Amino acid sequence: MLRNYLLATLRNLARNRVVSVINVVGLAIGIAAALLIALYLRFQYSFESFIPGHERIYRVSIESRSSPGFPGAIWDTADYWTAERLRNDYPEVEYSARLQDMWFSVRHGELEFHEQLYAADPDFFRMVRVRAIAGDLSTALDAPDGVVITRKIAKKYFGDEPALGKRLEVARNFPMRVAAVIEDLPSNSYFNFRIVVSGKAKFSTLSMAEFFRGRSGVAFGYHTFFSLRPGARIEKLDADMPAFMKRNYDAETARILVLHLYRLADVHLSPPGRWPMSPPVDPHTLRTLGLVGLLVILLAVINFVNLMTARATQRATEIGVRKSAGAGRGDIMLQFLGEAFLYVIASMLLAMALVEITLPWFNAMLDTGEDIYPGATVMFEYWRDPHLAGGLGAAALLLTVLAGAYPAFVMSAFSPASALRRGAAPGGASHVRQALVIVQFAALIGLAFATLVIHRQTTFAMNEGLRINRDQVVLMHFNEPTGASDGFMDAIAAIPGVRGVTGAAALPTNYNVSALTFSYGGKPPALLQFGATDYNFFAFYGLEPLAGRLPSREFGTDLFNPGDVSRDLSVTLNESAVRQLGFKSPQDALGKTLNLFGTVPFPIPTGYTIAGVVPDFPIDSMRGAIQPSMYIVDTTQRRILSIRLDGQRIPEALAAIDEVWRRMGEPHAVSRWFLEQYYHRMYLDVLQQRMVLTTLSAVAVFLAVLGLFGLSIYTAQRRTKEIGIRKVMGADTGNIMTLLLWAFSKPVLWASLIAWPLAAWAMNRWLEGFAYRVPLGWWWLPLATLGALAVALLTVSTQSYLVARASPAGALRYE
Amino acid sequence: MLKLNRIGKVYRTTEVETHALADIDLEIRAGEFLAVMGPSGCGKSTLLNILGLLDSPSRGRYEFFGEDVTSLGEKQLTAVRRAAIGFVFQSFNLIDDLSVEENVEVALLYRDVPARERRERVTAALERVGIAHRARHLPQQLSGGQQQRVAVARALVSNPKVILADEPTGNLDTANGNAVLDLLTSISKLGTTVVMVTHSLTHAAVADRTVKLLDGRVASETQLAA
Repeated sequence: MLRNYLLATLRNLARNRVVSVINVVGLAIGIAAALLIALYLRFQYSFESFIPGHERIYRVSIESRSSPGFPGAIWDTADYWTAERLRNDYPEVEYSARLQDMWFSVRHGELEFHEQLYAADPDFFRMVRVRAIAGDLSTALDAPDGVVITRKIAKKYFGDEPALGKRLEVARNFPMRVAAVIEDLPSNSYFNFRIVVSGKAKFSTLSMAEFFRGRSGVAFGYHTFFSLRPGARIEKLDADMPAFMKRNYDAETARILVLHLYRLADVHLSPPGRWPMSPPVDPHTLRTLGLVGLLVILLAVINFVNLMTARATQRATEIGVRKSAGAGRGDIMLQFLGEAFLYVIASMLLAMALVEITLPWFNAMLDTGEDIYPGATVMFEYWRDPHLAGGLGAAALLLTVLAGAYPAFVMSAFSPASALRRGAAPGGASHVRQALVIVQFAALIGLAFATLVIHRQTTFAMNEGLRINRDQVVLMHFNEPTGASDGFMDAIAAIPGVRGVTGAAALPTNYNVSALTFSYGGKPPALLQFGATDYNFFAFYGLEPLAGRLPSREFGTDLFNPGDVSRDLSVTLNESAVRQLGFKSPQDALGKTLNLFGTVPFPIPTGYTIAGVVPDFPIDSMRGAIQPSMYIVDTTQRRILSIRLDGQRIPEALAAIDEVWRRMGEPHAVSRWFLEQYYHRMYLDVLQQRMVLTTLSAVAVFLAVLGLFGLSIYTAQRRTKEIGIRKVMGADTGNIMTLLLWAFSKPVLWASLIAWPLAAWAMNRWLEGFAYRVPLGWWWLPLATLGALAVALLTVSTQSYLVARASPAGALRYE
Repeated sequence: MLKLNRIGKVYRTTEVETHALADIDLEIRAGEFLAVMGPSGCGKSTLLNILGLLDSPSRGRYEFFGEDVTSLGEKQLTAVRRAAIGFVFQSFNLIDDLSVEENVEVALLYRDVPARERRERVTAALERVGIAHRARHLPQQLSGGQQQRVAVARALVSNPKVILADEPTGNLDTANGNAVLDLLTSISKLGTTVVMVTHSLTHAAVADRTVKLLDGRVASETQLAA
């Protein structure tokens, strides 16, 4: 019996090659797209699996909640003392360790590069037991000159020679000894370290415990990890965090700061904070991608079901004969489920080939383009991954049932009498087909709308949402706190091709941003971000004051002078700070003097008079609110230089900038990058999401086109007699085309009724993840529908035209 | 014996009710060759479908070799059909994707016949109708007469008690039509009950008895002279 079924299926396939190919290719493309998404999701949910015991390792992050009702800021790091205090307070903690990231030149012989280093407490590798390929990792950081490097770094500096025991010089001054070499970290890891020096090294602040002891306030910037002993439960520590803060910090700090504990495998999915080791991934994004993947496979399955049931008419006679010969309903269902299984297997094999071919491109799309942030690397090694192979098999069976059950059900329900009477198929099947086409177009409209919204939001975030003029800006980073001198600034400004230069302690980035608490009158104190800039910083970035004035050399009170902190300092606030401090408007804030709340370990004025208010501009992802900020002028803290190029002679200008650095800069390789890269890194997940969704939408459109094309062929065959009669009665080609095209337009219009409310709700939810977002345009949904309609009409118009032009005599003779 | 007692069949759509058969009383003896005649739309094919358990009557009683099959469910009807009935259709109704021998084999697939026995019986059936030399051909490669002989072989191969032929010669020329009729006659002589719907008086004349239908009722019966 199976042989008979197989023969019938294969020969039927061969006889209806066009539709068979449409079926197989359509399903294969849907499976391939869904498979890529599934592999990507699997990658994202498999972080840190290469670290033994990772389930017991946690990361601490800090959230500052300055005032009730005002959004706080999040850091991926914790305070200097957090690791030690956790170990002291909780016997459940087995190890705790900090990582501090720094940028220094690293040299071996003639080779010197500006590298990102991490200093780590010696317990770090006792807790994070990655695979060492040389040396003893557990003791590698015990000595102050110990350094652990990855295989790639070893190759970079030492070539093919063994690196163990060799020397690397940090900042041209600190010789370090390679105490262990580890395997390159896989891309499914939040960690991005390649060079890890001992925290006891003199150039690391991890060794400056005495400096930090006894000082009030919080020193952010230390990635803090701890592991629990086997059997210990994190819930106990989590619940005790508020009490932990009260025990270990002053009342004000404990009020403002909240510690969050995240499982190591979930860190990359946690709310994005400042100074992440790796670009964050939004779990909403992952869920959206998962949903879209399911949607794409649904579209492919709908295509398959539609085409199979449309072909039911052709198989009606066969079914009638088999039933008259004694086949029961179960026998017919088995036959067509088997047929579906054959299709699914063929599609699955083609899909696997498609995934193999497109995987390099997919991984390239996920690449961050930066050495320090390895992008996601999705693998498809089914031959040595039994889980993956098993998953593929299960998916094939599930798809067989999904795609084959309904056609098998429909066909097995044929009454033999009506099936044998001119091969008539039950009418109900065509209603279900229509419903499926409507669902298909609803999904297509929804996807098109989602892509439009994401594209618009991303463009907004990267352009007008930034609110500053970021055209052709290069950032340059200094290690020394004093940053660029006046002479350096003048030399840069004199370069042909440079339109302007300014400096700041951190802005427009969020590196090294400080925060201090200020109060005004009797109002509650407010935590404000505190940033030092040059006089011309705001003018450089095109920010006009909302009230008051911008900093100027004309006003002696504008410049911070550490030698004279007795006088009040004129400052600039942003809009959020004005609101936070309780002023009615920017105008209302002018001339008011704020007082510093609490003490700091360096000389600083106590009075801060508001001379100007500027618009908010983001230095973090737009997922978080812009923090209330105060800006002062301090020309001795130009750690970040902003250089605007005229865009005409970029390579020459960059070369000249590098030359100035070599002559007058710090004794290490230059560290510069375009401001665009900073934002690109910040919005990496959204940018990638946009790319993936655009691609998936294109796949969905292609599937819809394939399915519609196949259906249009069957519709034409089925309506041949009707069209012949209409033409005999006087209908012309235009009348017939209108008839056929309207038949395919109706599902699109019905689909809009389903898609519009669902898509609007879904995208509103997605946009809620952004503090600043584009409003949903009223015309976007109709645009998505028009797009779907255009796709439908373009697809079926050719077939409709051919049918409409056919001779009526031929059509009637067909019967 | 096939026994129809006050059989009626009504087809209903949302707007139209068609009485295809009304009060049919008919007995067909085992081994009889019965011809059913009548103008188009008189209910001949409907009668055949009911006899062949492809359709159920709207009212009345149908006994199939002593068993009341009137209100049997789909599964049970299938079982009876599988065990005892063969069909020959006017438009042959061969499966285009299967060869001649595979088409004939379909009639045995659902009867738990082992593969080896199936092959033997198929070969025998094809030889009986004189088409064995075309066993591997596809239906599209055969003439109308040859296709109908394949259909007859398919009906025969399961050794049914009844063969129902719905205008088996309707799409054939005279020579082929006569050849098919000869086959049916020979089958009948061996004890198989044959019920044949036909428009042709000449072909009806070879039957043991002819029943004429008109407007869903039995209008007359004619016995073949002994």
